[in-house]
Amino acid sequence: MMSLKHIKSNYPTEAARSKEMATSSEELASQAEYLKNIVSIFDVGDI
Amino acid sequence: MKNLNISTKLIILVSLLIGIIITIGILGPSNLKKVNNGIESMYQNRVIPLEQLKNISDAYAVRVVAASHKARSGSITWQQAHNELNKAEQIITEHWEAFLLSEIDGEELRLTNEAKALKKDADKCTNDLISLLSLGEDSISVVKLGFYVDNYLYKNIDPFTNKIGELIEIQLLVAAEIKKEAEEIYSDAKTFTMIFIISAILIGIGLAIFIIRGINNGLKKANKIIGEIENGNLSFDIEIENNNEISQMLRRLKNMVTTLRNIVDNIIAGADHITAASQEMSSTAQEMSQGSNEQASSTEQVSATMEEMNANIQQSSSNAQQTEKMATKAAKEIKIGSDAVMETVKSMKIIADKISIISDIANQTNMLALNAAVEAARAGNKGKGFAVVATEVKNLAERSAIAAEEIDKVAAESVLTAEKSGKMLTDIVPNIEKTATLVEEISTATLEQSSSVDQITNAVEQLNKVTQQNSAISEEMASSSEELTSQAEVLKQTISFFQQDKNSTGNKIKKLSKNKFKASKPPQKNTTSKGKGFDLKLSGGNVKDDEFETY
Repeated sequence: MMSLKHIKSNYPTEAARSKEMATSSEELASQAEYLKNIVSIFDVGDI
Repeated sequence: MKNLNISTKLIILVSLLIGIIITIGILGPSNLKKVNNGIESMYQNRVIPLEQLKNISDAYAVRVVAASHKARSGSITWQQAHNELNKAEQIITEHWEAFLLSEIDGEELRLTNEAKALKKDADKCTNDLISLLSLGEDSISVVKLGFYVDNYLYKNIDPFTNKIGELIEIQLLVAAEIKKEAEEIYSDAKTFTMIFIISAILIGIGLAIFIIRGINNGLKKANKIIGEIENGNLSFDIEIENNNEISQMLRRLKNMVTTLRNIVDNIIAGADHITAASQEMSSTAQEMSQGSNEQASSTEQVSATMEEMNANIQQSSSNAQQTEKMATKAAKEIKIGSDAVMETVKSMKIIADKISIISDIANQTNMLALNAAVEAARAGNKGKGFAVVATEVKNLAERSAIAAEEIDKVAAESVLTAEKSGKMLTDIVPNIEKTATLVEEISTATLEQSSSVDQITNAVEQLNKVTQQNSAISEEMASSSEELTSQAEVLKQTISFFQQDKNSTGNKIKKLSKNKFKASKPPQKNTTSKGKGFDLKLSGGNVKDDEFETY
C-alpha cells in the first residue's frame, strides 16, 4: 500500500500545481483581455 | 503671421485679391465711364454735329449749287431743280436746328453765331433760287437764273459753307482733344490697372508661396512622420512650432505616435507576461503530467493490490463460512457425543451395580467354599477331593471378588471419567456454538470488507481514470502553453516592427492603461486564488486517513 501513500502525498502537490496552473491560466486570460483592450481603440470594421 | 491658421492666411490672400479686384473693378469702369462719356460726348457733340454740318454743306454744294447749274444748263428740268432746292432747304433747316441743339461753347459758339448771321444770306439766296425756279423755264428766267448764279449764288453761300467748314474743323479739333483725353484716361487707367494687377500678382504670388511653403513644409513633415510610422519607427520626436491646421495635424500625429508607443510597450509587456505565464504553466503542466503518470501507475498498483486483497477476503469469507458450518456440525456432534457419554455413564453404573451382585456371589461362593472345606475336613480322606474343589472354588471366588472389586473400581473410575468427559463435552458445546457465531460474524464482516474493497476498487479505478484524464489534460495544457509561448513570440516579433525608444518604460503603460484604454492591470501573482482543478483534499482533516495501514 505504498502507492496509496504515494498518491496521498502526491495529491496536495498536484492540487497546488493545479491551482498554480489555474492562476496562470487566469493570468493569461487577463493578459489576453488586457491586450484586446489595448488594441480595441482601433476600429477595423468588417475588413 | 506664422501662427495664423491656413484658412486665415487664405482668407487674407483672397480678401487682398478681392480688394484689388474690387478696386480695379471700381476704378476700371470709372475710367471706362470717363472714356465712354468722352466717346458719347464726341459722338453726340462732335460726330453727329459733324455729320449735320457735313449734310448742310453737302446740301448747299450738291443740291443747291449743283441743281442750279444743272437747271441752268438744262441737264435737269426746273421742276427737278426746284424740288432739289426745296429738299436742300429742308435738309439744311433740319440739320441746322439739330446742330444748334447740341452742346456748343467757346470758339465753336463764336463760329456758330457767325454762321447764323451768314446763314441768313445763304437762306435768302436759296429762297431766291427757289422763287426763280418756280417761275418756270423761259428765256428770261434762264437769264435771271444765270445772272443770279453768277453773281449771288457763291457770294451768299460760300461764306456760310466756309464757316461750316471752320465748324467742321473745330469739331475735328475738339474730337481730337477728346480723343487725347480718352487716351490719357486709358493710359492712366492702364497704368493704374497694370500697377494694381502686378501688385496683386506679386502680393498673391508672395502670399501663395508663403502659404504653400507653410502647407508644403507641414505636409512634408507629416509625410515624413507617416513614412517613419509606416516603416515602424516610433523613436523620433516631433517638434511643433505654431498652431495652424498643419500643426494641429502634426500634434495629432505626435499624439498618435505616443499612443502607438504606449500600445507597443503594453503589447510587449503583455506578450512578456503571456510568455512567462505560459512557460510557467507549461512547466507546471509537464510536472503535473509527470505526477499524474506516476499517480496513474500507483493507482494501477493499488487497483491490482485491491483486487488481490479482494480475492483474499473472498477466500477468507468462504473459509469462514465453511468453518462456521464445520463448527455448527461439530457442536451438534459433540452434543450427540455428550449424550452418548451420559448414556455410557448410566450403563456403567448399571454394570457397577451388576458387578456388586457378582461380588456378593463371590462372597457367598467363598462362604460356600469355606463351608465345603469344613465339611471336607470333617469327611477326612473322603472329603479330600472335595476339599481341593472347595479350595479352587474359594480361590475362584476370591479371584472373582478381587476382579469384581477391580471392575467396580474401574467402573467407578470410568463413570467418573465419562461424567468428566460428558461435563467437558457439555462445556465445549457453548464455546463451539459461540465460535460458530463468531465465525459467522467474521464471514459477515468479510463480506462487508469485500463490498468495501469493491467500492475502494471502483474509487481507485475512478481515480485512475481522473488521473489519466488529468495527465491528458496536462499534456494538452503543456501543448497549449507551448502554443501560447509561440503565439506570444509571434506577437512580439509582429510588434517588433515598431522600433521603440529605449527610454520608453512601463510607467507609460500604467498611465495609459488607467487613463486611455481603461484596460485591466496586468494580473499579479495570486497563489491563493482558486483554480478549477480537481482538488481531492487529501491533506489533513480526515481522521479516516489514519485507518490506512501499510502491508
